[in-house]
Amino acid sequence: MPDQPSNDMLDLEEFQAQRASLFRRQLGREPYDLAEAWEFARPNAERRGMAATLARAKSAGETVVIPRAGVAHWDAQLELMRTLSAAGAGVVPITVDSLTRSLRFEDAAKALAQSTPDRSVLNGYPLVAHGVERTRELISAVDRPVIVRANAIDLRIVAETAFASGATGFVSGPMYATLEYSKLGSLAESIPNWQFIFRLMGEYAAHGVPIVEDAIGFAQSGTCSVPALMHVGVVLDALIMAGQGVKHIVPYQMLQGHVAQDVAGCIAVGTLTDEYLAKLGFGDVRTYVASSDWNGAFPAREPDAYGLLAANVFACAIARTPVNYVKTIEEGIGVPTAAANAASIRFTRYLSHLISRQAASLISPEVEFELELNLMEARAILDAVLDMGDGDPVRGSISALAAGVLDIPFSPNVHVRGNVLPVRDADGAVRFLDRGALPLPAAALRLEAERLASRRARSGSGELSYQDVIDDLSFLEFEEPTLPEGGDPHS
Amino acid sequence: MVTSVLRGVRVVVGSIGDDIHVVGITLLGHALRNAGAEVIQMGIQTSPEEFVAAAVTEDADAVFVSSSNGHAGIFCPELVAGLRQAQADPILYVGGNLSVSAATPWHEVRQRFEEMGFDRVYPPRTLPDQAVQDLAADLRARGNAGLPEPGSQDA
Ligand code: B12
Repeated sequence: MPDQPSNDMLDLEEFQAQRASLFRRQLGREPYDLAEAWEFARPNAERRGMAATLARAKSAGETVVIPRAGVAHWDAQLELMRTLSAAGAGVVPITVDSLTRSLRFEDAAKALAQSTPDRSVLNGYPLVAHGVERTRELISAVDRPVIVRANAIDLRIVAETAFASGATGFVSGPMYATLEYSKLGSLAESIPNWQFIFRLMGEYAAHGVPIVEDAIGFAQSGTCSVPALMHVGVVLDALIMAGQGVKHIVPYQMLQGHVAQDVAGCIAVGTLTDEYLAKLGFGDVRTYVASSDWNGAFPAREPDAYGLLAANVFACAIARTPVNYVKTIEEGIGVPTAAANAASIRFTRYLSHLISRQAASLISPEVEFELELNLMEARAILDAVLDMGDGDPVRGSISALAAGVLDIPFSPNVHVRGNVLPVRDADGAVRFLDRGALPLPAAALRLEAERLASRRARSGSGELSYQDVIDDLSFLEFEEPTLPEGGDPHS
Repeated sequence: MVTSVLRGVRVVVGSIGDDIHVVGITLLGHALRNAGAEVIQMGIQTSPEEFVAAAVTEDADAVFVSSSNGHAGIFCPELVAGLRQAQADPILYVGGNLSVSAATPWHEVRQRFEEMGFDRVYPPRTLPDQAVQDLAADLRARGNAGLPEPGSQDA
């Protein structure tokens, strides 16, 4: 393995050697037989492939609605997937539990043994414990494409198992998995793990099994963030995917409750991803933008949660994103019931059906303003990051992170400077309170400051502080929650 | 507001096991620090052994265990056993989102963690100030005389 990771494509022989030693180390067995896997996966992808579903939606101007869901027990997972499919989910998820994501396959198997169809001890489906055969049966039993959802710095075995089982979608990449999802992992350590997965996807694609990969970047943190910063992570993840041969990428935009900024974010992230992919010579990659419902603290009251979903769907429908990842009306409570999931999918499809045909009339001058600001800021940061790697996104992001040229708010990762702070302006759009060492152009800084003036004026001292940032964490929760003790809506 | 209700009190804070939720512990850390406590912030993905080691080497008065991802039941027993084995007896709180399913009644969840050995078990959405007040009261009950009376605070 090269000392310093780069965006060069992993050599096939080297990749095969890595597979052999990985399987031996982490599973104590030989690697899955890829030729055998492709025999199964090819006809499976032709029947229910995620890439085809997204391509169809994109050209028809429609939105595929996708939930997130996973439980431990096989029977319960099948029932869940069938319910979601019946509710209109265009792609059906298998969310993997977090013990499996931390490579504790045996502990996950033990917890699986303690789970029943009615009671899951795990927060997802223990993919490796169930194994390829059982998961093929599961995927074959539903009529929609399946995406396996997981996140961690080493998901190589999870990815191998997912693709061999017939999943045609997968999630995340090194920016998200490392900087938003890990305490100690470094980019230098996690990027090669992810390149392995992307290389594997490239091999599947080359053998007639296109697999879609979600580029989440910095667009799914637990707090609000400035859209341009979210895009930077998405584009870097996408460039690293493309470097290993991934052909179908889903750039993310998290919706934050400010419709104009959200619409602009969805448009900008698509533009930027395509622009930088082309610039680095990956013009043959297909992209399908996903708007993703607000991902931070959710209202606990069900009517409020519908309200937030509605604001999100408005943005997604105006931007006409081909994918929308839905949260549910029970997000603020706990793992949602199948009924809550189904209702949220139905609600999203209904409203998006209604609004998307009016999309053109709803693009306001505010959207144009946000779009221009977004693009200006994101390009400035991306160009600086690429410069620091002499054009290589892998080397660039490693150096830029150390220098704070790449920086995000509220990161749990020790390698992130954490000097950037987001704050909402008086209308609820997200701005930089502190930009740390991000290389933002002067024109952008001026616009940001102008937009914050009204909120500054409203605060007693005329200044904004860390307390305002903290207050913003509950911006989308309107009034104190009035829940029964324990927040349990079903008691 | 900065007060001194917890002046000199040493509190270990972290998310346990495979949990990656960081926002809650960040706010708890701020609230405790603002109340005068010394916060040993362990961050996310803190193993039971790391909690125990920190409680011992930092001579902690209290340990705040947070778990949001539903796996508290998997990792907490090991933490409690570890503290017993190390003969450490800090005040032990747990909070976040403690069951895997919203359908589990709260009284069952609370009972399970109390029986495990936690001094207090908090439901989702607990305000940090609540925990600060409870900790001050529990420390006084344990005879920690150094703490100021309730209500007294500095600027
Ligand atoms: C943001 C978020 C995320 C972000 C986290 C980003 C980050 N690095 O922090 C992301 C997207 C990464 C994420 C991931 C996951 N999440 Co999440 N997430 C949330 C969400 C939306 C908000 C959490 C939050 O930040 N709240 C705001 C803070 C301030 O509140 P808090 O954490 O509750 O903490 C407060 C109090 O509870 C209290 N408190 C907390 N701990 C303690 C401890 C003590 C001792 C005391 C006194 C008080 C206390 O103090 C805080 C101050 O007010 C919640 C749902 C919701 N609440 O709306 C789901 C939620 C917590 N997540 C959930 C799940 C299942 C997951 C995943 C496992 C999903 C999956 N299977 O993929 C993964 C985690 C994987 C892993 N390895 O852990 C579930 C948990 C359900 C359960 N327990 O059964 C929830 C409830 C969503 C749901 N409805 O299903 N999540």
